[in-house]
Amino acid sequence: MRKAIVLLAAWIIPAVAQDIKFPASFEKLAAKAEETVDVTLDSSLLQLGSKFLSNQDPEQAKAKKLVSGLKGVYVRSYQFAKEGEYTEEDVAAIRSQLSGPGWSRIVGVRSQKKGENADVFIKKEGDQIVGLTVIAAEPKELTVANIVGPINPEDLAALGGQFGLPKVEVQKKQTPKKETK
Amino acid sequence: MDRFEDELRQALRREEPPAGFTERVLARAGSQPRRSGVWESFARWFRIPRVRFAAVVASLLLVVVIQEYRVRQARAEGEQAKAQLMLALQITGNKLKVVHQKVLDLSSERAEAGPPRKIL
Repeated sequence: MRKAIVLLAAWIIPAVAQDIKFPASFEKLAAKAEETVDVTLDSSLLQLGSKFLSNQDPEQAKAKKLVSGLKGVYVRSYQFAKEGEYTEEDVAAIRSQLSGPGWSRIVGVRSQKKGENADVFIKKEGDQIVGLTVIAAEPKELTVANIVGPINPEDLAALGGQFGLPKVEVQKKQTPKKETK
Repeated sequence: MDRFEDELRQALRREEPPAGFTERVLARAGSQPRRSGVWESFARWFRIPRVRFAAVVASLLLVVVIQEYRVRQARAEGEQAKAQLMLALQITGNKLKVVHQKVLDLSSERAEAGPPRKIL
């Protein structure tokens, strides 16, 4: 009985760790895509990968710090030869999962002219960000990136410019200054 | 014909074994070297010190080779995980940069357009 519980937990925990579930239709997209990126890194693989990140290389050292608390990194990116290879339903299947409790959309960009849509969602627990999902839908490209785990905006800010990450302005709590007369 | 039959009968007559025949046969059968089994012949090899030494060295070598293989396999998996991690961060970072840029573009467009006009 105890063994069964342990096995069940081992099956459930990784499923819970992954915040979003990529729909089956994504496998069909992979078949249609010219270029596909499929990255699935759970906690153990992240820790394994981070062991090989060098402390000497500043980029890798910052990445190592960022990754240390993460529970998973999941990326699907498809580049197509022509437009219209993916449908709005494919994107909606992901977006609908991000309407649950804890998730909030911090950025949403819609461009009717260029047909480019992008959304950034974050998941918060208290004051801490514990998940980040980016959906970037362009006419010939669809990318969904899901990062699970505590993400320190300061670490993100430190990675600004590295790997193309933008600098994130961290709004620090201002303590009232004592006026000196 | 009768003579032939007589000779034949003489040759094929029942003859009792000499005294002590059975004992002699059994004694000789007991003195024959026993056929050794595979395991026994294998074990006999290990009674030779050089063979024993070579077996120990070969076993140690096998352990080292297996360990080295495992280390290399773990390293290959780690390097692959690292490459995937860097790629994932690169893609996520690039997409965030694109979104960030779009927001900045929209902000500047609105700023250029000026404050919203009052219709009424």
